[in-house]
Amino acid sequence: MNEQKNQWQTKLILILMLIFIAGSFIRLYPAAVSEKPLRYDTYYHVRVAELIKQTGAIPDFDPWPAGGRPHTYPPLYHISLALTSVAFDIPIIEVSRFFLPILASLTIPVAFWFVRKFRGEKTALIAMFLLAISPYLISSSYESPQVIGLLLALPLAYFMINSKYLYSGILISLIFLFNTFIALFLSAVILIFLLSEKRFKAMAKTFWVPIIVLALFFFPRLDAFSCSNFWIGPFFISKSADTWVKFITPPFLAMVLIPIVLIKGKTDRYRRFWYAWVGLSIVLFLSHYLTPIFHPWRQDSILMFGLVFFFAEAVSGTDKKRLFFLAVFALASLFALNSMYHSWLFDRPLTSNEYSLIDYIGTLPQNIVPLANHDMCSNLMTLTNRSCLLDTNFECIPDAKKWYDYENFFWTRDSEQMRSILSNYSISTVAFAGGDWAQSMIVPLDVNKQYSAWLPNTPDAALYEINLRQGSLSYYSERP
Amino acid sequence: MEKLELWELTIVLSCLVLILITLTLSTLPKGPVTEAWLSDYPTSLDSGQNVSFKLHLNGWSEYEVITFLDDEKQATVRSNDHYTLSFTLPNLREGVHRITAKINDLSSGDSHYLFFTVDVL
Repeated sequence: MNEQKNQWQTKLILILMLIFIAGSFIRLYPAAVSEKPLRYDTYYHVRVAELIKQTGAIPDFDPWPAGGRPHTYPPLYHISLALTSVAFDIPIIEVSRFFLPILASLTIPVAFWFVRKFRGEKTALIAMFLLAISPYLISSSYESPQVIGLLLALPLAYFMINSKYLYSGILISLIFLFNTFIALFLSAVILIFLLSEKRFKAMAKTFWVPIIVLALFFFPRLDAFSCSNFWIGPFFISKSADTWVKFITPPFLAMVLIPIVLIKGKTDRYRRFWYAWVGLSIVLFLSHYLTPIFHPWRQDSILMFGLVFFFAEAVSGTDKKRLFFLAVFALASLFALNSMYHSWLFDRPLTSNEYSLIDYIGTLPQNIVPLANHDMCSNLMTLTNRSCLLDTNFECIPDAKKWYDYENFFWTRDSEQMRSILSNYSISTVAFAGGDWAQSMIVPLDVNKQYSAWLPNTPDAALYEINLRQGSLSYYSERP
Repeated sequence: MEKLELWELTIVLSCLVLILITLTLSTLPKGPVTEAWLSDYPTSLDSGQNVSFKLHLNGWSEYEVITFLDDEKQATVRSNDHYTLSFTLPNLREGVHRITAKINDLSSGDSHYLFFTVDVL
């Protein structure tokens, strides 16, 4: 009996190691082969971390986007980047390439530990495996400190299910100091979970620490939130769901319904927690049909994280039907992963010719502030330490109307709208990435195409000067 | 030795496949970049004056540069990979003109354009 147990333990450790190494490798390989951070969000975090490293203080003003804006992003991720950079004497931009994928990899063994506490080794192995290969979770391992929130969500869930409410509250506070969005999501899951059990005292025990931390963080920064059209601005901007959201909705609904049908037996606290997680995630995802505020990338990753534990619960039985679903899910994941590895998701946010354009803009006088898409602007500001008209939507947007007009410039297919945006805001320079279709529409306007960089058989990355004559922009063909 | 159960085997084999896929994959193809930019061009000038400008090329291939005044073909020049070309177009009549440099990348066969408008008073 003991010998059999030992054999199983050896086998278990081998499988654990194999899944962990494979999962880590998949996450770290794209970061290692890229010369620059993989996602444009990271370039924002690098800028703030650099500021902390230089000044030794948490900034209250973000100077890079044109006109600047108050800085309200929680500080712990930026401090972690700055401290790691100082401790190992590595530039922050290098630290940022590996910091999140390493933490995302650590989620794999933590998931095993967590599930084993409630469901045993077999279910824990399946959960760990699904987490290791989930294309959504792999592709979201590079941009946002929400990755840290997901890592800490597992000990948080452990304390919550075991009624250690104070510890749960401390973890929510910690997560909040890394990222507000994931902390709010987890708080909502816990509220739904505790409400479903009518544990009102437990709510008070859980949330008193986070409320104090939240107040201590936000009260000194109330001025930042009083700026007009602050970060919640997107909530009020009506936008229809994009094609991708419409396309992915049926598979997402199916992925939630399949495990619900397969899960058998009594609902305990563990299962109820994941019901709350997945239920809230899918509701937030469907909210894309009403408002863009819950960014699809973020919300999808959180939904997929919950589904990992949901699926592990559903397929942990040994009957053939459940094994079939596990096999199909694994194969589908592998297929998706294979496709994704060839895509831009695992490459730098810009192509080599777009980086050449950024280098070129870096040589121009500082008073030239170009309009460019989010990726271009974020890279430009970080790599050349100069200003740009658009920036990430992470925090206070001083003039949301202007901001969304700038975004619309790159989304619209109406050249008249483009012309009026350029005229209304007296924009002097526009930088186009190769993938910006708006570039072909600007050509009929009175503009100079001053710079162009290309790779074989790819569209140009180009810089255009806008010829505003007496403050207005004409079509070239309509000039006298 | 105890036999592996099917689900365990699935996990182990899938991980092996994953590692193989990862090892054999490469990131998006990166080719050599060509840069081209204009300098020293006027925004306006008096009628009868010549228009001069420079075209800078920083690339890896051979290029053919054709200049246009509006839709009218002007000069054709062949250039190697690093070059600064100076052009002069004479006697512009009144009005707004677009001067275009069409760059034919002789390696890829692609064409790329740079242009500016000049207001001739």
